[in-house]
Parts: sequence; C-alpha cells; structure tokens
Amino acid sequence: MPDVQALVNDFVLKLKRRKIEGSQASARQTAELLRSVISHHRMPYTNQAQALINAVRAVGEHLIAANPVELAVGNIVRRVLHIIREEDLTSTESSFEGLSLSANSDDDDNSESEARPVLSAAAVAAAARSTLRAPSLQTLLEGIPDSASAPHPSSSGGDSDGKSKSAERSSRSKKLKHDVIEAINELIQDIDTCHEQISEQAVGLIHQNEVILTLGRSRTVKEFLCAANEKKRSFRVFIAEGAPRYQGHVLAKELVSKGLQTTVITDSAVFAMISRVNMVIVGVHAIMANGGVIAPIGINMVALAAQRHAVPFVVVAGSHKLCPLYPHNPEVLLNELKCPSDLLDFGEFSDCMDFGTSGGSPLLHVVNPAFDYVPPKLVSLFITDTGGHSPSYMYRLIADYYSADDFVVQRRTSS
Amino acid sequence: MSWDTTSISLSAGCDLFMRYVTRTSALEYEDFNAAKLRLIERGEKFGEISLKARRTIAMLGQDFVFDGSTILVHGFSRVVLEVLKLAASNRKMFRVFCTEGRPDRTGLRFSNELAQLGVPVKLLLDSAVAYAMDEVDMVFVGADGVVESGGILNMMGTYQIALVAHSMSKPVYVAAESYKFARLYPLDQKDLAPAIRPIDFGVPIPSGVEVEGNARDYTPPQYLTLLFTDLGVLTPSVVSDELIQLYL
Repeated sequence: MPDVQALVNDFVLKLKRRKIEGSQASARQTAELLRSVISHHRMPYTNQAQALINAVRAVGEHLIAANPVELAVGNIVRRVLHIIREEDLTSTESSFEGLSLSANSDDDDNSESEARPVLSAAAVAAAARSTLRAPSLQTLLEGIPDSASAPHPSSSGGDSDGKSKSAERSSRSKKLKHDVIEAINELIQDIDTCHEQISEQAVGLIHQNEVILTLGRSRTVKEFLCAANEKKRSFRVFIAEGAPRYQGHVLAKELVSKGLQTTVITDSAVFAMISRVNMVIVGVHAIMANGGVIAPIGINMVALAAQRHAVPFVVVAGSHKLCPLYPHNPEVLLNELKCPSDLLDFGEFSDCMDFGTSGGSPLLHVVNPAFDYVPPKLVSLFITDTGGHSPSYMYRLIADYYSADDFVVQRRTSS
Repeated sequence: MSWDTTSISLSAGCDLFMRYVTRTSALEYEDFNAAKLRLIERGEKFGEISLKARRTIAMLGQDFVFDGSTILVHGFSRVVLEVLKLAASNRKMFRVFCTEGRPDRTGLRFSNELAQLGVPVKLLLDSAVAYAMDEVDMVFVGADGVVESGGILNMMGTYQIALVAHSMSKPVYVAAESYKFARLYPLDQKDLAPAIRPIDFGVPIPSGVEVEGNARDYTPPQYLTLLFTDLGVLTPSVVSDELIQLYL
C-alpha cells in the first residue's frame, strides 16, 4: 500500500508541475496509476465494488485537483469508475444465473415458489443496469426496482448453500478485481491505439488534390495526414504556425520528411488563405458534453474563418478527450495562462515591466492563455476512434462511456 | 368538457403513461386484479417521478447560473422558479429581469416570488426585451410542451425573445420535465390548435377589429441552446432521439 501512495504522490506532483505534456500521455498514465491502485487495494468481504469505487474516487479527487485544466485525467478517472460499476453488475448477474440453475436442479417440486425470486433478482439487476445508463424516457419507469414484488437479492441467495458460500465469495472477489484490471488494460490499449484507429478513416475524408488547413501541431492530425499520404492520396497542407509556441514549424518539418506538399502561413493569414482551403482539420485539447471543444489558442479564429467560407471544420480526437461536463462559462473556466516569456523576451522588455513605476504595478501586461473555446455550431464533424460523429451526437458517446453518478468526482465543499 | 383540451403537458403525460402501460409486462398477469393493482402502482410511481423531476432539474440548472449574471425570465414557470430558488439558496449572486407577461401578468407573480427570496428583480415591458438584452447573460424559460423537433411550445412571446437572444448570441435555456415531451411536430406557428385566452385591453375594442387570442407560440430548436430536464442536460436534438426511441 505505501508504494501505491508514493506513486500517487509522485504523479500528483508531476501534474502540478505540468511535467506531463499532452492529454494522451496524461490519460495513459492516469489509467496505469489507477490500475496499480486497484491491484494493490485490499478487498473487503462485503460491498467490494463500492470499496473500489471509493478508493478510485479518493485518488481521482487528488489527481483532478492537481491539474484541473487537463480534463483527460478526470475523464479517465470517470471511465475507470464506470468500468468498476459495469463489471460489478455483470458479475452479480452471472452469479444470479448460476443460482437459478442450481435452484432449479435441486428441487423441482416447488419450482413455482423458486422461480419468482430468481426472476425478480434478474429484474433488480436489469434495473441496476438501466440506472447505470443515462436516464431516458424509456427507462424512466422501468428503472426503479419494484419494492412490492422484489425480495432482497442477498436474502434469496442466503438459504441455498452455506458451505460453499465463502469459497464462492472469495473467488468472486478475485474475479471482480481481475475483470476490472482486464478492462482497464483494454482501456489503456484503446488510448494507445487511438491514433491508428483515427488514421484509418483518413482516406475516406481526404480526397485527391484537396487543400487541408491546420493550426499548430497535434499528433493526431499528423498521423491522420500521414496515413492519407501513405495510401497514395496527393494533397496539400497549409499549416498556420500556431503562435506563440510555433509548433506548426515542427509539424511542417515532420510532414515534409514524409513527402507531403506543405505550406507554412502565419496565424494572421488564415482568413486570407481560407478561400482556397477544402477542409480544416485540427486536434483539440478536450471535447465538452455539448459538442463544443477546448482547443489550443487561435483555433476559434480558424473555425470562424471556416464558417465564413463554408469550409468543413473537422476535429480529430481520441475518445479519452471526451469530457462529460458542460462549459458553463468557458471564458472564465477551463483555461490556463502560460508563461509570458513565450511572447516577449524578459531581457529586452525588462524596463517596461519595472514594478517601480506608477505605484507598484508595471505598465506593460502580458497575457498568454493556452486555450480557446469553440462552440458546437462551428464544428462540422468529430473524428474519434469510434468513427465520425456530429457535435449533437456527443451526448450518446458520453452515455456509453460514463455513469451519471460519476460526473462530479470532486465533492463540493459546502459553504 | 371540464379539462383544458389545449394543455400539451396533460396530453403528453397521458400519452407517455399509456406507453408505459402498453409496452411493459404490466398486463401479462392472468389475474385481472393483479394487473389492476400493478397499473395503479405504476400510476403512483409516475406521479412520484414527476414530482421528483423538478428537484432534479433545479440541481442541474443551477450550475449554469454564475455569480454576477443577469437572467431574463419569461412566463411563470414553477421549474424555472425552483432552479432560481436553489441557485439563490446556494448563495449565488445574480439578478433577474422579468417580462411583464401580458395578458395574465405572469411576470408580476414571478417577480413577487423572487423578491421574497431576496433576489434583485427588475420588471420589463414585454416590448422591452430587445432593449434590455445586451445586459442579459442568459434567458431562462419553462415550456408547456417540448416537441419532437426539440423546439418548445411556451407562453406567447417566447419565440420573439429567443430570436432576439439568438441575434445577440445569448444562450436560451429551457427547463422542462420529461412528461412534457410531446409527439408533435409543428412546421410553423399556425400548425397547432390555438390555445385561446381572453385578453383584457382595458378599453373597449373598436368594432370590426380582430384580436389575436392565442396564448402560446412555437420556438424552433435552432434558437434554443440547452434543455434542462430530469433526464439530464440535453441538446434539442436529443429530445427527438428520446421520443423516437420511445414511440418507435
């Protein structure tokens, strides 16, 4: 247990110091950390799933607080919580099935009385499953277990067999943990292979002799473009350089080395060039529940230019970037101010930033926000590892990946 | 007839309940009394869920109220009131603009409720919405019914407000319980039977002059930002998905 705590602290420190670059790395490392948390967690005899959920939640709170801007961390924590809930449900369901089989084989004479509790136990499990899903009109009424007809599932299993109970239980506990870890491994694999999954769709979207515009550098975009290039599509790429970090220059170099026709433009030239562009493809930081995106600074301008000239604005992103939260007030939240030295050289401008002048505050201020918010109406299409989706479809993916109970991981400080 | 035939939520709620009766295993019992009991039980549960819905919506909606915001409200909606009540009790600092809400002066009643909570309120003429819109951060409305396109039917004037809000790019939020989801698909304003209400103009109306007595208009989905329902915070397109899934 202490070594896990050390791992957690180490990771929290890394997140706080912004040592982990990119949401894919953060997502992967979060998943790995949670996997070791779970594998080192000592399982109690009762209510194991809840114990696991609490353990993951406790760690998750720390991780999210360490870097609230890196939404991928919170997403993975929620995904893992959802995995635990799902695995717990399938294991209870399968144990009920086993129980019903044994009950039927043991005594056929009073099968009438036995059949009902087994059926209702299945109904309870089904109800629990539907509560796991996002509520819908269909499940609104069915979702609630019937208090009148359903006996407690624990009591129905109680009288059947006393001897093998403890053995069965311990094997079940091992199974739950094993299943959860297995599922997390799958999740990690999904995160690792998301670029390939996305790139596979490139040929269907990029056509011969098209002109593609992107801004800055995103690994997903790079692999997407390279995949189309490998399939013998010839097209041209305009790269807005992405001030102030100029990651576009790096991308240009990488694409040229792969033999792609590349043009570098300044960010301010986007509007001038957009009329010649067939499609804008960008990578983003996070996708919000309403279909809006948090993206590197400058992308909103590109999106507006694209809308003005009716150019499709395509976002490529792995599903670990899908966040089940709504941007209530995107201008204030979900942004980060980076170091001003990206913009100005401290040495050259040191006299303008003198704290001695005009009552202690310098005349020159530098603001270097990291992210833009692009509203859903400006996004034409999302390409994720599960295929292409429109912004209004994001809610469905969220319902698939997350449980509604986990949306708020952090307990609010009630004040 | 003793019931309001133009009420959308009444007919939509009944449709929904009928659906639960016909679609589920409730009627598979051999014994008539058992089936009857089950139906009664379902009905009670339906009522219970509907009561709980308002609370759920308030919890979801109050997140969207931020400190220092100005909210425009049109019509007297108990759900919207619940959202604002919860936000106020969570010590959010916000102010509310209420439209007067002619002809039944819903805004006066609403502002009275808010003033009792200690929330700063300002009353507006119905025609002052565009004038006040630049100060407004978000529009909150309730709904008589949510239709299959994701649009809403609500008190007369909602469409107008949504249009003004849209042109000034302010978000329009709708708070509505899921039993108001109706299987209607209005194509334009005149597509539905009008809900005629008497209008008191204060002075006698000159002879030969017609009066538009409809109390309700239809707001198309493209002018709505989000819907707060007990099923969660939904975009208008989700509403059509939900309805299609249920009634398919």
